[in-house]
Amino acid sequence: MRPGIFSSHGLLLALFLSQIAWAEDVSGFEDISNPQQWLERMSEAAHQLNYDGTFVYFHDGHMQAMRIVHSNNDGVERERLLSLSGPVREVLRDSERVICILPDDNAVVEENAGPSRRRPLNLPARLETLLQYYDISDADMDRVAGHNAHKILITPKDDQRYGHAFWLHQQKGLLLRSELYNEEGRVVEQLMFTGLKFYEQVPEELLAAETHGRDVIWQRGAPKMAVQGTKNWWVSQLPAGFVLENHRRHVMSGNIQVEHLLFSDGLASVSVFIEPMSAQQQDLVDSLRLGAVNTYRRHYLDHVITVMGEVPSRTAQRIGEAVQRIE
Amino acid sequence: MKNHVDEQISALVDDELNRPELSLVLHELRDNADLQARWRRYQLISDTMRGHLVTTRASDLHRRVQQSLAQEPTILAPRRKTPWPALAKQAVGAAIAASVAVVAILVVQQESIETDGVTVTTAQLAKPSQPARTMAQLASITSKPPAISKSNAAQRERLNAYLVNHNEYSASSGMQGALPYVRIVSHGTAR
Repeated sequence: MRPGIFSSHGLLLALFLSQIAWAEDVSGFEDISNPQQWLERMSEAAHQLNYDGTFVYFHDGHMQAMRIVHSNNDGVERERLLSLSGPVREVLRDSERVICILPDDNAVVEENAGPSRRRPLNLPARLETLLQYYDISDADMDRVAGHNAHKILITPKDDQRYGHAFWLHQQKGLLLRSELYNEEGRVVEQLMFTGLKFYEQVPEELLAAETHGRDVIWQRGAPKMAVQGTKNWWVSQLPAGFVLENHRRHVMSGNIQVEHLLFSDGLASVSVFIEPMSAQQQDLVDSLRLGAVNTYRRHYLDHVITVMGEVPSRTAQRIGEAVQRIE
Repeated sequence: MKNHVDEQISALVDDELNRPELSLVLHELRDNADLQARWRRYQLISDTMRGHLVTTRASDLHRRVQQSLAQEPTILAPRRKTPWPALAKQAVGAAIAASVAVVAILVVQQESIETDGVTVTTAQLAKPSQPARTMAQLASITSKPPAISKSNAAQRERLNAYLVNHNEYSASSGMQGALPYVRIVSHGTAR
Protein backbone atom coordinates (compact mmCIF):
# COMPACT_ATOMS: atom_id res chain seq x y z
CA MET A 1 0.00 0.00 0.00
CA ARG A 2 2.58 2.42 1.12
CA PRO A 3 4.93 2.09 -1.84
CA GLY A 4 1.88 2.49 -4.07
CA ILE A 5 0.98 5.88 -2.58
CA PHE A 6 4.60 6.91 -2.64
CA SER A 7 5.04 6.06 -6.27
CA SER A 8 1.83 7.83 -7.29
CA HIS A 9 3.05 10.92 -5.43
CA GLY A 10 6.34 10.47 -7.20
CA LEU A 11 4.52 10.42 -10.49
CA LEU A 12 2.61 13.58 -9.62
CA LEU A 13 5.82 15.25 -8.54
CA ALA A 14 7.49 14.26 -11.77
CA LEU A 15 4.56 15.63 -13.73
CA PHE A 16 4.68 18.82 -11.71
CA LEU A 17 8.39 19.24 -12.29
CA SER A 18 8.01 18.58 -16.00
CA GLN A 19 5.30 21.26 -16.09
CA ILE A 20 7.73 23.74 -14.55
CA ALA A 21 10.42 22.68 -16.95
CA TRP A 22 7.98 23.12 -19.81
CA ALA A 23 6.94 26.56 -18.60
CA GLU A 24 10.57 27.63 -18.47
CA ASP A 25 11.05 26.18 -21.89
CA VAL A 26 8.43 28.49 -23.32
CA SER A 27 9.46 31.65 -21.53
CA GLY A 28 13.17 31.48 -22.28
CA PHE A 29 15.61 29.09 -23.82
CA GLU A 30 18.77 29.83 -21.90
CA ASP A 31 19.09 26.14 -21.09
CA ILE A 32 19.27 25.01 -24.69
CA SER A 33 22.77 23.94 -25.52
CA ASN A 34 22.22 21.94 -28.66
CA PRO A 35 22.45 24.00 -31.89
CA GLN A 36 19.93 21.67 -33.55
CA GLN A 37 17.37 22.63 -30.92
CA TRP A 38 18.06 26.24 -31.82
CA LEU A 39 17.25 25.47 -35.44
CA GLU A 40 13.99 23.84 -34.38
CA ARG A 41 13.25 26.91 -32.32
CA MET A 42 13.97 29.13 -35.31
CA SER A 43 11.57 27.16 -37.44
CA GLU A 44 8.84 27.36 -34.78
CA ALA A 45 9.38 31.07 -34.22
CA ALA A 46 9.09 31.84 -37.95
CA HIS A 47 5.50 30.59 -37.80
CA GLN A 48 4.34 31.28 -34.25
CA LEU A 49 5.29 34.83 -33.37
CA ASN A 50 3.45 38.12 -33.79
CA TYR A 51 5.81 40.92 -34.70
CA ASP A 52 6.51 44.02 -36.74
CA GLY A 53 10.12 44.62 -37.69
CA THR A 54 12.40 46.50 -40.05
CA PHE A 55 15.57 45.05 -41.47
CA VAL A 56 18.25 45.65 -44.06
CA TYR A 57 19.01 43.16 -46.80
CA PHE A 58 22.29 43.16 -48.66
CA HIS A 59 23.38 41.21 -51.72
CA ASP A 60 25.55 41.80 -54.78
CA GLY A 61 26.45 45.31 -53.66
CA HIS A 62 22.79 46.32 -53.22
CA MET A 63 21.39 47.30 -49.88
CA GLN A 64 17.70 47.56 -49.22
CA ALA A 65 15.50 48.32 -46.23
CA MET A 66 12.35 46.30 -45.69
CA ARG A 67 9.58 45.89 -43.20
CA ILE A 68 7.90 42.68 -42.16
CA VAL A 69 4.70 42.15 -40.21
CA HIS A 70 3.83 38.59 -39.19
CA SER A 71 0.82 37.43 -37.27
CA ASN A 72 -0.41 34.10 -36.03
CA ASN A 73 -3.95 34.31 -34.82
CA ASP A 74 -5.12 30.95 -33.46
CA GLY A 75 -2.90 29.13 -35.91
CA VAL A 76 -3.88 31.30 -38.89
CA GLU A 77 -0.77 32.93 -40.25
CA ARG A 78 -0.62 36.18 -42.15
CA GLU A 79 2.38 38.10 -43.29
CA ARG A 80 3.23 41.30 -45.09
CA LEU A 81 6.64 42.14 -46.47
CA LEU A 82 7.27 45.60 -47.90
CA SER A 83 10.32 47.28 -49.40
CA LEU A 84 11.14 50.59 -47.70
CA SER A 85 13.84 51.68 -50.14
CA GLY A 86 14.06 51.50 -53.90
CA PRO A 87 11.01 50.45 -55.91
CA VAL A 88 7.88 49.80 -53.86
CA ARG A 89 7.31 46.06 -53.76
CA GLU A 90 5.10 44.12 -51.45
CA VAL A 91 4.39 40.47 -50.66
CA LEU A 92 1.24 39.44 -48.81
CA ARG A 93 0.84 35.90 -47.58
CA ASP A 94 -1.95 34.10 -45.81
CA SER A 95 -2.88 30.45 -45.42
CA GLU A 96 -4.38 30.33 -48.91
CA ARG A 97 -2.49 32.71 -51.14
CA VAL A 98 0.70 34.58 -51.86
CA ILE A 99 0.33 37.93 -53.61
CA CYS A 100 3.44 39.72 -54.82
CA ILE A 101 2.70 43.30 -55.87
CA LEU A 102 5.58 44.41 -58.08
CA PRO A 103 4.59 47.74 -59.66
CA ASP A 104 8.01 48.31 -61.19
CA ASP A 105 7.79 44.94 -62.93
CA ASN A 106 4.29 45.98 -63.96
CA ALA A 107 3.02 42.78 -62.39
CA VAL A 108 1.12 41.21 -59.56
CA VAL A 109 2.00 37.57 -59.03
CA GLU A 110 -0.60 35.52 -57.24
CA GLU A 111 -0.09 31.89 -56.36
CA ASN A 112 -1.75 29.41 -54.05
CA ALA A 113 -0.03 28.72 -50.76
CA GLY A 114 1.97 25.49 -50.60
CA PRO A 115 2.99 23.10 -47.85
CA SER A 116 5.88 25.26 -46.61
CA ARG A 117 3.32 27.31 -44.69
CA ARG A 118 2.81 24.32 -42.47
CA ARG A 119 5.57 23.52 -40.08
CA PRO A 120 7.71 20.63 -41.24
CA LEU A 121 6.53 17.72 -39.11
CA ASN A 122 9.70 15.75 -39.53
CA LEU A 123 12.03 18.53 -38.48
CA PRO A 124 14.19 16.51 -36.07
CA ALA A 125 14.64 13.89 -38.79
CA ARG A 126 15.57 16.62 -41.27
CA LEU A 127 18.10 18.02 -38.86
CA GLU A 128 19.54 14.54 -38.44
CA THR A 129 20.23 14.32 -42.21
CA LEU A 130 21.51 17.87 -42.08
CA LEU A 131 24.38 16.74 -39.86
CA GLN A 132 25.70 14.44 -42.59
CA TYR A 133 26.38 17.36 -44.90
CA TYR A 134 26.93 20.30 -42.57
CA ASP A 135 28.77 21.01 -39.32
CA ILE A 136 26.58 22.92 -36.90
CA SER A 137 28.15 24.84 -34.05
CA ASP A 138 27.41 27.58 -31.55
CA ALA A 139 29.22 30.89 -31.84
CA ASP A 140 29.53 33.88 -29.50
CA MET A 141 26.54 35.73 -28.14
CA ASP A 142 25.75 38.92 -29.97
CA ARG A 143 23.20 41.73 -30.07
CA VAL A 144 20.88 42.50 -32.97
CA ALA A 145 18.31 45.32 -33.05
CA GLY A 146 18.74 45.76 -29.32
CA HIS A 147 17.98 42.11 -28.57
CA ASN A 148 20.37 39.49 -27.28
CA ALA A 149 21.06 37.00 -30.01
CA HIS A 150 22.40 33.46 -30.06
CA LYS A 151 24.61 32.79 -33.09
CA ILE A 152 24.92 29.43 -34.85
CA LEU A 153 27.23 28.53 -37.69
CA ILE A 154 26.29 25.99 -40.33
CA THR A 155 29.29 24.99 -42.40
CA PRO A 156 28.96 22.68 -45.40
CA LYS A 157 31.24 19.66 -45.61
CA ASP A 158 31.57 19.95 -49.41
CA ASP A 159 31.25 22.62 -52.11
CA GLN A 160 27.80 21.54 -53.29
CA ARG A 161 25.96 23.79 -50.84
CA TYR A 162 26.17 27.13 -49.09
CA GLY A 163 27.11 27.91 -45.51
CA HIS A 164 25.03 29.97 -43.09
CA ALA A 165 25.32 31.98 -39.94
CA PHE A 166 22.08 32.57 -38.05
CA TRP A 167 21.57 34.97 -35.16
CA LEU A 168 18.47 33.96 -33.19
CA HIS A 169 16.53 35.93 -30.59
CA GLN A 170 17.76 34.64 -27.23
CA GLN A 171 14.28 34.28 -25.73
CA LYS A 172 12.04 33.77 -28.72
CA GLY A 173 14.25 32.07 -31.30
CA LEU A 174 13.29 34.41 -34.14
CA LEU A 175 15.87 34.78 -36.92
CA LEU A 176 17.27 38.30 -36.39
CA ARG A 177 20.25 38.23 -38.66
CA SER A 178 21.54 35.84 -41.28
CA GLU A 179 24.57 35.54 -43.51
CA LEU A 180 24.97 33.17 -46.40
CA TYR A 181 28.40 32.08 -47.61
CA ASN A 182 29.23 30.81 -51.07
CA GLU A 183 31.46 27.87 -51.89
CA GLU A 184 34.51 30.09 -51.42
CA GLY A 185 33.33 31.17 -47.98
CA ARG A 186 32.46 34.68 -49.12
CA VAL A 187 29.28 36.35 -47.86
CA VAL A 188 26.79 36.60 -50.71
CA GLU A 189 23.64 37.58 -48.84
CA GLN A 190 22.96 39.27 -45.52
CA LEU A 191 19.89 40.23 -43.61
CA MET A 192 19.76 42.08 -40.30
CA PHE A 193 16.89 43.44 -38.25
CA THR A 194 17.30 47.02 -37.08
CA GLY A 195 14.04 47.34 -35.17
CA LEU A 196 11.59 44.77 -33.87
CA LYS A 197 8.40 44.89 -31.87
CA PHE A 198 6.52 41.83 -30.62
CA TYR A 199 2.75 41.82 -30.21
CA GLU A 200 0.19 39.67 -28.44
CA GLN A 201 -1.97 40.31 -31.45
CA VAL A 202 -0.95 42.29 -34.52
CA PRO A 203 -3.25 45.26 -35.26
CA GLU A 204 -5.24 44.59 -38.42
CA GLU A 205 -4.13 47.76 -40.20
CA LEU A 206 -0.49 46.66 -40.11
CA LEU A 207 -1.39 43.71 -42.31
CA ALA A 208 -3.23 45.66 -45.02
CA ALA A 209 -1.53 46.21 -48.39
CA GLU A 210 -0.40 49.74 -49.04
CA THR A 211 0.69 49.29 -52.62
CA HIS A 212 -1.77 50.27 -55.31
CA GLY A 213 -1.74 47.82 -58.16
CA ARG A 214 -2.87 50.35 -60.77
CA ASP A 215 -1.58 49.71 -64.27
CA VAL A 216 -0.28 46.29 -63.53
CA ILE A 217 -0.71 42.92 -65.12
CA TRP A 218 -2.23 40.44 -62.75
CA GLN A 219 -0.44 37.19 -63.17
CA ARG A 220 -2.34 34.47 -61.47
CA GLY A 221 -1.93 30.75 -61.15
CA ALA A 222 -5.04 28.87 -62.23
CA PRO A 223 -7.53 28.44 -59.38
CA LYS A 224 -7.18 24.68 -59.58
CA MET A 225 -3.45 24.43 -59.54
CA ALA A 226 -2.87 20.73 -59.25
CA VAL A 227 -3.15 18.68 -62.40
CA GLN A 228 -3.71 14.98 -62.46
CA GLY A 229 -1.57 13.15 -64.88
CA THR A 230 1.55 11.17 -65.26
CA LYS A 231 4.83 12.58 -64.14
CA ASN A 232 7.15 12.72 -67.10
CA TRP A 233 10.51 13.79 -65.76
CA TRP A 234 13.13 12.75 -63.24
CA VAL A 235 16.69 13.65 -62.30
CA SER A 236 19.06 10.78 -62.97
CA GLN A 237 21.90 11.93 -60.73
CA LEU A 238 21.77 14.20 -57.70
CA PRO A 239 24.51 15.88 -55.68
CA ALA A 240 25.15 14.05 -52.38
CA GLY A 241 22.42 14.51 -49.78
CA PHE A 242 19.68 15.86 -52.03
CA VAL A 243 16.46 13.86 -52.02
CA LEU A 244 13.13 14.37 -53.79
CA GLU A 245 10.68 16.11 -51.45
CA ASN A 246 7.87 17.00 -53.79
CA HIS A 247 6.83 16.16 -57.32
CA ARG A 248 3.75 17.69 -58.89
CA ARG A 249 2.23 19.09 -62.04
CA HIS A 250 0.44 22.39 -61.96
CA VAL A 251 -0.89 25.15 -64.17
CA MET A 252 0.81 28.52 -64.22
CA SER A 253 -0.45 31.81 -65.61
CA GLY A 254 -0.86 31.66 -69.37
CA ASN A 255 -2.41 28.23 -68.87
CA ILE A 256 0.95 26.52 -69.12
CA GLN A 257 1.37 23.12 -67.52
CA VAL A 258 4.53 22.88 -65.51
CA GLU A 259 6.11 19.89 -63.84
CA HIS A 260 7.82 20.81 -60.57
CA LEU A 261 10.34 18.64 -58.73
CA LEU A 262 11.72 19.83 -55.42
CA PHE A 263 14.90 18.45 -53.85
CA SER A 264 16.40 19.22 -50.46
CA ASP A 265 19.39 18.26 -48.35
CA GLY A 266 17.52 19.27 -45.18
CA LEU A 267 18.50 22.92 -45.39
CA ALA A 268 19.09 23.99 -48.98
CA SER A 269 16.39 23.30 -51.53
CA VAL A 270 16.41 23.18 -55.31
CA SER A 271 13.42 23.26 -57.62
CA VAL A 272 13.33 21.95 -61.17
CA PHE A 273 10.58 23.34 -63.40
CA ILE A 274 9.87 21.78 -66.79
CA GLU A 275 7.50 23.40 -69.25
CA PRO A 276 6.91 23.02 -72.98
CA MET A 277 9.00 25.39 -75.08
CA SER A 278 7.12 28.45 -76.26
CA ALA A 279 8.16 31.17 -78.70
CA GLN A 280 8.75 33.77 -75.99
CA GLN A 281 10.93 31.36 -74.03
CA GLN A 282 13.51 30.97 -76.77
CA ASP A 283 15.44 34.19 -76.19
CA LEU A 284 15.86 33.83 -72.49
CA VAL A 285 19.13 33.98 -70.65
CA ASP A 286 20.78 30.79 -69.38
CA SER A 287 21.69 31.53 -65.88
CA LEU A 288 20.68 34.17 -63.38
CA ARG A 289 21.13 35.00 -59.76
CA LEU A 290 18.52 36.44 -57.39
CA GLY A 291 20.35 37.09 -54.15
CA ALA A 292 21.49 33.68 -52.98
CA VAL A 293 19.21 31.91 -55.42
CA ASN A 294 20.92 30.64 -58.56
CA THR A 295 19.04 29.59 -61.63
CA TYR A 296 20.10 27.46 -64.55
CA ARG A 297 18.16 26.90 -67.76
CA ARG A 298 18.45 24.63 -70.69
CA HIS A 299 16.38 23.51 -73.64
CA TYR A 300 15.79 19.81 -73.91
CA LEU A 301 13.38 17.77 -76.05
CA ASP A 302 11.21 20.80 -76.89
CA HIS A 303 10.99 21.73 -73.22
CA VAL A 304 12.55 24.42 -71.09
CA ILE A 305 14.15 23.18 -67.90
CA THR A 306 14.71 25.76 -65.19
CA VAL A 307 16.60 24.89 -62.02
CA MET A 308 16.33 27.30 -59.10
CA GLY A 309 17.62 27.11 -55.57
CA GLU A 310 19.77 28.59 -52.83
CA VAL A 311 22.76 26.50 -53.91
CA PRO A 312 26.00 27.24 -55.80
CA SER A 313 25.42 27.69 -59.53
CA ARG A 314 27.46 24.56 -60.25
CA THR A 315 25.05 22.49 -58.14
CA ALA A 316 22.08 23.98 -59.99
CA GLN A 317 23.75 23.21 -63.30
CA ARG A 318 24.58 19.63 -62.30
CA ILE A 319 20.97 18.98 -61.40
CA GLY A 320 19.73 20.67 -64.57
CA GLU A 321 21.97 18.57 -66.77
CA ALA A 322 20.76 15.33 -65.17
CA VAL A 323 17.08 15.96 -65.94
CA GLN A 324 15.70 13.08 -68.03
CA ARG A 325 12.36 12.22 -69.51
CA ILE A 326 10.79 9.12 -67.99
CA GLU A 327 10.62 6.56 -70.80
CA MET B 1 -24.77 58.66 -48.42
CA LYS B 2 -21.41 56.98 -48.04
CA ASN B 3 -22.69 53.75 -49.50
CA HIS B 4 -24.20 55.64 -52.35
CA VAL B 5 -20.88 57.24 -53.19
CA ASP B 6 -19.23 53.80 -52.97
CA GLU B 7 -21.70 52.46 -55.46
CA GLN B 8 -21.11 55.38 -57.74
CA ILE B 9 -17.35 54.94 -57.62
CA SER B 10 -17.85 51.28 -58.41
CA ALA B 11 -20.15 52.24 -61.30
CA LEU B 12 -17.55 54.72 -62.49
CA VAL B 13 -14.94 51.97 -62.66
CA ASP B 14 -17.40 49.85 -64.64
CA ASP B 15 -18.32 52.81 -66.82
CA GLU B 16 -21.99 52.54 -65.91
CA LEU B 17 -22.76 56.13 -64.89
CA ASN B 18 -24.99 58.45 -66.83
CA ARG B 19 -23.80 61.93 -67.65
CA PRO B 20 -25.19 63.91 -64.68
CA GLU B 21 -24.04 61.26 -62.21
CA LEU B 22 -20.67 61.18 -63.87
CA SER B 23 -19.99 64.86 -63.43
CA LEU B 24 -21.19 64.71 -59.83
CA VAL B 25 -18.89 61.81 -58.97
CA LEU B 26 -15.93 63.35 -60.77
CA HIS B 27 -16.53 66.53 -58.84
CA GLU B 28 -16.51 64.60 -55.57
CA LEU B 29 -13.42 62.70 -56.63
CA ARG B 30 -11.46 65.83 -57.34
CA ASP B 31 -11.66 67.13 -53.80
CA ASN B 32 -11.73 63.94 -51.80
CA ALA B 33 -8.48 62.06 -51.24
CA ASP B 34 -10.33 59.16 -49.57
CA LEU B 35 -12.50 58.71 -52.61
CA GLN B 36 -9.48 58.84 -54.87
CA ALA B 37 -7.89 56.04 -52.86
CA ARG B 38 -11.16 54.11 -53.08
CA TRP B 39 -11.25 54.67 -56.80
CA ARG B 40 -7.74 53.25 -57.12
CA ARG B 41 -8.67 50.23 -55.02
CA TYR B 42 -11.75 49.52 -57.10
CA GLN B 43 -9.64 49.84 -60.18
CA LEU B 44 -7.27 47.27 -58.72
CA ILE B 45 -10.17 44.93 -58.01
CA SER B 46 -11.36 45.42 -61.54
CA ASP B 47 -7.86 44.65 -62.79
CA THR B 48 -7.94 41.51 -60.69
CA MET B 49 -11.11 40.33 -62.34
CA ARG B 50 -9.48 40.83 -65.72
CA GLY B 51 -6.44 39.00 -64.43
CA HIS B 52 -8.09 35.78 -65.54
CA LEU B 53 -7.01 36.76 -69.01
CA VAL B 54 -3.84 35.25 -70.34
CA THR B 55 -0.96 37.57 -69.46
CA THR B 56 -0.14 38.56 -73.01
CA ARG B 57 -3.74 39.39 -73.70
CA ALA B 58 -3.96 41.47 -70.55
CA SER B 59 -0.92 43.30 -71.78
CA ASP B 60 -2.64 43.89 -75.13
CA LEU B 61 -5.68 45.22 -73.36
CA HIS B 62 -3.50 47.59 -71.42
CA ARG B 63 -1.93 48.83 -74.66
CA ARG B 64 -5.28 49.14 -76.42
CA VAL B 65 -6.64 51.24 -73.57
CA GLN B 66 -3.62 53.51 -73.80
CA GLN B 67 -3.94 53.78 -77.56
CA SER B 68 -7.60 54.66 -77.48
CA LEU B 69 -6.90 57.24 -74.78
CA ALA B 70 -4.29 58.79 -77.05
CA GLN B 71 -6.57 58.72 -80.07
CA GLU B 72 -9.52 60.40 -78.42
CA PRO B 73 -8.28 63.73 -77.09
CA THR B 74 -11.38 65.57 -78.29
CA ILE B 75 -13.64 63.74 -75.88
CA LEU B 76 -11.47 64.66 -72.92
CA ALA B 77 -10.78 68.22 -74.03
CA PRO B 78 -14.19 69.82 -73.51
CA ARG B 79 -14.36 68.65 -69.89
CA ARG B 80 -11.28 70.52 -68.89
CA LYS B 81 -12.64 71.40 -65.48
CA THR B 82 -13.21 67.76 -64.56
CA PRO B 83 -10.31 65.80 -63.08
CA TRP B 84 -10.30 63.35 -65.97
CA PRO B 85 -7.31 64.84 -67.78
CA ALA B 86 -5.35 64.91 -64.54
CA LEU B 87 -6.24 61.30 -63.79
CA ALA B 88 -5.51 60.26 -67.34
CA LYS B 89 -2.16 62.00 -67.12
CA GLN B 90 -1.46 60.19 -63.88
CA ALA B 91 -2.29 56.86 -65.42
CA VAL B 92 -0.18 57.52 -68.48
CA GLY B 93 2.59 58.83 -66.25
CA ALA B 94 2.58 55.63 -64.23
CA ALA B 95 2.60 53.59 -67.40
CA ILE B 96 5.57 55.55 -68.72
CA ALA B 97 7.39 55.18 -65.43
CA ALA B 98 6.79 51.45 -65.57
CA SER B 99 8.02 51.16 -69.12
CA VAL B 100 11.07 53.31 -68.47
CA ALA B 101 11.93 51.14 -65.52
CA VAL B 102 12.85 48.29 -67.80
CA VAL B 103 14.36 45.75 -65.53
CA ALA B 104 17.49 43.84 -66.19
CA ILE B 105 18.01 40.99 -63.78
CA LEU B 106 21.49 40.16 -62.63
CA VAL B 107 23.02 37.98 -65.23
CA VAL B 108 25.80 35.61 -64.37
CA GLN B 109 27.44 34.11 -67.38
CA GLN B 110 28.44 30.50 -67.01
CA GLU B 111 32.04 31.21 -68.00
CA SER B 112 32.48 33.85 -65.34
CA ILE B 113 30.64 32.76 -62.25
CA GLU B 114 32.24 35.54 -60.22
CA THR B 115 30.28 37.54 -57.71
CA ASP B 116 29.91 40.58 -59.96
CA GLY B 117 26.53 40.73 -61.61
CA VAL B 118 26.20 42.07 -65.13
CA THR B 119 23.30 44.25 -66.06
CA VAL B 120 22.07 43.53 -69.54
CA THR B 121 21.88 46.64 -71.67
CA THR B 122 21.63 47.05 -75.40
CA ALA B 123 25.21 48.31 -75.44
CA GLN B 124 26.47 45.21 -73.68
CA LEU B 125 24.42 42.89 -75.80
CA ALA B 126 25.96 44.44 -78.89
CA LYS B 127 29.49 44.02 -77.54
CA PRO B 128 31.37 41.50 -79.67
CA SER B 129 33.53 40.05 -76.90
CA GLN B 130 30.98 37.79 -75.25
CA PRO B 131 31.91 34.25 -74.27
CA ALA B 132 31.15 31.83 -77.08
CA ARG B 133 28.58 29.89 -75.12
CA THR B 134 26.24 32.82 -74.55
CA MET B 135 26.97 34.31 -77.95
CA ALA B 136 24.30 32.49 -79.94
CA GLN B 137 21.58 33.32 -77.52
CA LEU B 138 22.72 36.93 -77.16
CA ALA B 139 22.78 37.25 -80.94
CA SER B 140 19.22 36.11 -81.16
CA ILE B 141 18.23 38.89 -78.78
CA THR B 142 20.33 41.48 -80.55
CA SER B 143 18.80 40.68 -83.91
CA LYS B 144 15.47 42.03 -82.65
CA PRO B 145 16.31 44.73 -80.13
CA PRO B 146 12.72 45.76 -79.36
CA ALA B 147 12.15 42.33 -77.86
CA ILE B 148 14.75 42.84 -75.16
CA SER B 149 12.57 44.49 -72.60
CA LYS B 150 9.73 42.20 -73.55
CA SER B 151 11.75 39.06 -73.14
CA ASN B 152 13.19 40.37 -69.91
CA ALA B 153 9.70 41.03 -68.70
CA ALA B 154 8.59 37.57 -69.73
CA GLN B 155 11.56 36.07 -67.99
CA ARG B 156 11.07 38.07 -64.82
CA GLU B 157 7.44 37.08 -64.80
CA ARG B 158 8.27 33.41 -65.08
CA LEU B 159 11.07 33.58 -62.54
CA ASN B 160 8.90 35.42 -60.03
CA ALA B 161 6.20 32.78 -60.37
CA TYR B 162 8.77 29.98 -60.17
CA LEU B 163 10.38 31.54 -57.11
CA VAL B 164 7.02 31.78 -55.34
CA ASN B 165 6.34 28.12 -56.13
CA HIS B 166 9.81 27.14 -55.02
CA ASN B 167 9.35 28.96 -51.71
CA GLU B 168 5.87 27.60 -51.15
CA TYR B 169 6.87 23.97 -51.57
CA SER B 170 10.22 23.98 -49.85
CA ALA B 171 10.18 22.99 -46.20
CA SER B 172 13.51 24.71 -45.59
CA SER B 173 11.92 27.94 -46.84
CA GLY B 174 9.33 27.39 -44.14
CA MET B 175 12.14 27.20 -41.59
CA GLN B 176 13.53 30.58 -42.54
CA GLY B 177 10.28 32.49 -42.43
CA ALA B 178 10.22 35.53 -44.67
CA LEU B 179 13.79 35.30 -45.95
CA PRO B 180 12.86 33.48 -49.18
CA TYR B 181 10.37 36.23 -50.04
CA VAL B 182 12.90 38.94 -49.32
CA ARG B 183 14.58 37.78 -52.53
CA ILE B 184 11.45 38.53 -54.54
CA VAL B 185 11.02 41.96 -53.01
CA SER B 186 14.68 42.76 -53.48
CA HIS B 187 14.97 41.35 -56.98
CA GLY B 188 13.65 44.67 -58.27
CA THR B 189 16.74 46.56 -57.16
CA ALA B 190 19.20 44.27 -58.85
CA ARG B 191 19.37 46.13 -62.10
